[in-house]
Amino acid sequence: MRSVWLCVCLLLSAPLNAAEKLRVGITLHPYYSYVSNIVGDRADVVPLVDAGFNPHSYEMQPADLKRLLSMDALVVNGIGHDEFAFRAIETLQSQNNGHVSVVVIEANADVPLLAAPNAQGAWNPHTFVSVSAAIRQLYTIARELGKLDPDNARFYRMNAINFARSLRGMKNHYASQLIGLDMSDIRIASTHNAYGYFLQEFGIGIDTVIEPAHGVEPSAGQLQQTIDRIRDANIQLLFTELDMDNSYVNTIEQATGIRIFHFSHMTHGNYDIDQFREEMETNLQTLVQALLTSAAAKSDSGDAL
Amino acid sequence: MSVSSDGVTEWIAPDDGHRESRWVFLTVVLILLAGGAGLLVNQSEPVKVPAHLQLNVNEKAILTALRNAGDEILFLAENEASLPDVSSLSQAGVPPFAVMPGQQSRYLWQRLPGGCYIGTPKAGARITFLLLLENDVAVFWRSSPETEPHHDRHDESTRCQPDSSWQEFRNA
Repeated sequence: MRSVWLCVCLLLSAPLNAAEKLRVGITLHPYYSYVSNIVGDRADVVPLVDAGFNPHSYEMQPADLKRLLSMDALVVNGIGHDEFAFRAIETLQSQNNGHVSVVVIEANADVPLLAAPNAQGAWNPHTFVSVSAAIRQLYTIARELGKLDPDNARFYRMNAINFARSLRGMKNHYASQLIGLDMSDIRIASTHNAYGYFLQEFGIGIDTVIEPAHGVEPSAGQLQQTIDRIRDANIQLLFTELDMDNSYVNTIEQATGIRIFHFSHMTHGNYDIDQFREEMETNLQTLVQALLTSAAAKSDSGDAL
Repeated sequence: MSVSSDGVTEWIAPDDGHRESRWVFLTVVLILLAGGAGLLVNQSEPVKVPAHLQLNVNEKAILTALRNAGDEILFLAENEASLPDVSSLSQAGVPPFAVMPGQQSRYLWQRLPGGCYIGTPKAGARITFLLLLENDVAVFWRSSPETEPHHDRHDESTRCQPDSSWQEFRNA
């Protein structure tokens, strides 16, 4: 009889425990990796939007709104790329007399942000293409989730710190390949301003951003100005996006001889716990390759003289 | 119209456009007044540029690293009586107390009594950083290290109380 009661209790407690788990929503791919690494199996991570969407122009669907209503928290970038989530929350608030129970966690709340070019009072939202800014966001997310789930607060913080340490170790591994490299003369151009945070942690600034606004291709006149600027400033490297077809980049390459390298923007493909780490490693490999290539070219031109 | 012994005299305004000019002038004045009032009503505060945007690329990187370090230090100190010292943070690989391979530290980091860490610039750097850890994490900085006042051991704790010469990191 006692064993029957035990079985009944176990059967009842299992769904209860499952129901007690936090449901944490995310808007963009990197946040799936961040939150999954923080919560482990103690919370459910739910993408607000199905994979395959374009974050620059997405409009929420009824199924997304339904999913949003089921969440305890929603982790957002909050300064760009996920405006659709805020529009959805406003829609739900207007439908529910201003009441929506989901807690919005602004991952960038404590990141020292960079300014968006050509826009007063706007921030560069690409904090997720970076190691240091990603670590900052991990800690903020872990802290805020801990407030919602105090029993697991220490677990979340410990996971965030362990993940941060592994990311930092990866960055240091690639940085060690740059020992002795003189980067003072390396000049960088970028198609759009997605890599400012990433390059900053290596002490590298961006000399020229080609697109006049995010996702806006330069006009013929602007392209010519860019080509002139690249020649005048002796810019050797151009970083562009892996999953975006920018045909004007080839024009710049042919006109200037600049070397082109591709970084991941981290917002494509399927949601995966390891996506951030894997794509950041690819970006680090690309950066090291680009800097070594530039240094070798400089050395060759010095020998030729 | 007036009546005199000579008959009736009626004054007629000359048809030289004076009246129309007056109306046009009045309309222009009204439009300008309305425009001015509109400008006054619709004025907004100019967007204040956050101070950290004035830092150079290396200093911004230090700022981010220091803000991250604050959380890690609090975690490490959770079951300790005091904050970890600089050498243990460096050994644990916590930036900016530990630098990336191949880089030279441009700061001399010290833990001060009072719950803070201060990074004074070495050659090639111009900004002093302060990481304050009380209930929360706060990062401050200031330039002009040559004006850094001399501190003896007795007033070291006051160095953890940033005055108005320090800028605090805030995005807004």
